[in-house]
Amino acid sequence: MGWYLCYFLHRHLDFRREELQALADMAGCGADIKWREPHGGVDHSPFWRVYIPTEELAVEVCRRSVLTRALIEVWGEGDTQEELNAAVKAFPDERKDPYIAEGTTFKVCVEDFGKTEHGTEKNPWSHVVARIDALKPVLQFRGRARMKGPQHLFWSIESANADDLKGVPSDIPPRRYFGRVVATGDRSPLSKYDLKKRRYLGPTSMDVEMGLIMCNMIQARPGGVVWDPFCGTGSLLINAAHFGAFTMGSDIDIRVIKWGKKDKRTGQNVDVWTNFEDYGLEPPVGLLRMDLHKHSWTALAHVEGTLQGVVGDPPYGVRAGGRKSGGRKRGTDGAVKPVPEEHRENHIPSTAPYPFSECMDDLMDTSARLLAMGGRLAFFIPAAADPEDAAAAGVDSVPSHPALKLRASSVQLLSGRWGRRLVTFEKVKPYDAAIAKAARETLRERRKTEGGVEDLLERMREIVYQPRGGDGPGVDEDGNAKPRRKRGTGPSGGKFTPTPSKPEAAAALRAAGGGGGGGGSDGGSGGGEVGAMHRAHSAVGVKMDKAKRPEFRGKNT
Amino acid sequence: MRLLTHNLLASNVKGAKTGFPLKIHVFVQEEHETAFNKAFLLATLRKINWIAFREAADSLGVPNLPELPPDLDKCDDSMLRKYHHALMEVHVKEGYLICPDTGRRFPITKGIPNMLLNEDEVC
Repeated sequence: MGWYLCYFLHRHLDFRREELQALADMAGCGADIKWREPHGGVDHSPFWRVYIPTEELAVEVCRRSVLTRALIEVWGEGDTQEELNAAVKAFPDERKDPYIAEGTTFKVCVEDFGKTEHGTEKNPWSHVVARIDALKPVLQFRGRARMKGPQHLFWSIESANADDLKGVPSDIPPRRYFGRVVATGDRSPLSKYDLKKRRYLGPTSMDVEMGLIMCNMIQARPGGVVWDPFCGTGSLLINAAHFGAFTMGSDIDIRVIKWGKKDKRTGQNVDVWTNFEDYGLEPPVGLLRMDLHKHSWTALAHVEGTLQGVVGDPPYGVRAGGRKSGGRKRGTDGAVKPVPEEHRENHIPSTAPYPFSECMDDLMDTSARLLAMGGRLAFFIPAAADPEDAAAAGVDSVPSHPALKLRASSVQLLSGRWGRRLVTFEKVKPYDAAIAKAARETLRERRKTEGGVEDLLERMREIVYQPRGGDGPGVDEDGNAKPRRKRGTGPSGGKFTPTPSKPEAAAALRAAGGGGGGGGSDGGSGGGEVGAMHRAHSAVGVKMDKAKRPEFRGKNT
Repeated sequence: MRLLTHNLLASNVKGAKTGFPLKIHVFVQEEHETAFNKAFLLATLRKINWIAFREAADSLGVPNLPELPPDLDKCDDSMLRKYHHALMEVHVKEGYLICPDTGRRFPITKGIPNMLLNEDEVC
């Protein structure tokens, strides 16, 4: 009892168990969860085994999972129908009888992996009937079949032979399973909150599936307040509100949160508020134009422990590059020019670039203070696909804070070269300003000495833009790989100035899967490497050409 | 902006001491019904700065909140609903937040306070 087949979707492979674990933690049975390797020992197989103490808890854990298809009490499995039947026969009668007895209603579904079977035109259920017939020697359903609202649901699962698979790794061995569905996940919000139907959107709106996963990671729930410090058009807030949480959003960019835009069809002004209205969700408790670096949360103690969750997608692209307060225009004497009195009201303050590492540290520290004990923080950081690349540049190191404990870390590849890593932290210690400050200094020093470059994003750029050896550009006439460009040694001195003619930029574009076109197409301050970076960032959730994502190991449909 | 949010905000303008609590000057305010969640409300009322909450409610025309934090164990539901209304259901749409130390005004438009500082105000 307690062991279930955990039949995952074949998507976001690195996130699947992490999501279910977070939901189990929320249900209070996280410590009891045990995992068993899938048949054949293939890590990315969708057929994991999970131990959850009771059936009630299994339902509770699974019901809002985005990446779990179902938890199934397996009645039998095998490589052949004979093996499957023998196993079903051996499964204790007292555990089968209540579900197949007279007076019950049931439904059997065919839920294969890697292939699709259809019924005949005459009888659309013929393939299901065939599965039931094949089991007949060992299992007779004495209840009545009911298609809508059956008491008991059964799945017949076959994972296909290697020959049948189209674009899916063939190392998942063929196998047959039959069992009772105990709990199912819920993907209905994916269509409800479909970005294509949303009226107010930004270029970096989080795709709904990942947004829901993030909100599961932070356990967004009724009675808790969730804050997104980079809320933009509020897409993550919508996901958190879907799970019943109160939401709070802030952003340094007033254009997205306040101004909104005109709906093309109705001419109505749409913004974050109208998005919440459209979905019938509780509007945010607060939307603020605020700088994370110079934030306006009071320094008084009562603010501590206010939040149940913090979720965000920090700006590490260039289109939505990080900005902070304090880009000061200085006069000839070096002093900050005062803003003329008559312009103060409508003055738009200039901002300075916000180094990603600083932004990350600010996010960690502010969250550590505002979160309640047990509250969670989840956000994305850039990640290198190749472990060697990552180790060399030190980008595989995740941030840390004395009050926060790392709970999960999952990578989503966006190209063969790089991707993003979702890190999830839990507040495990009360916030102590002195300890936090000392830890932050240590962290900064370590970044400097280890990588030679303090900012993680700078290092990430080096990986993204350094062409692979033997790839044409990046190799000099003698066939030796060009040395990795160091910060400050490049033609631009490490700044984001346009370098549209650089061969590296074109290579990076290809690597990032951003599609054709050279650099320089973004005009203004963008262009070249900048263009590649932002296109790669916005490629999230966009179906990319298969050939351009060689290391992605799943089907993406 | 609701008063729950107001209770967490302070002015961080150059020259401000605690910058808390921000005074509210209202042009437009609205009321929207919000589901009553007793557990959340009790947890929140135990945490918030009561004086700031009472003063803010006063300036929004939601008077008669007790001078001192009430004994929440003895509050009946009708009292709690009154606090719920002040904390969660009154929205400031247009107006100003005013720094108690420096008088710096933070405009609220479309319900969104602009807490960003000008270049010469960042400390």
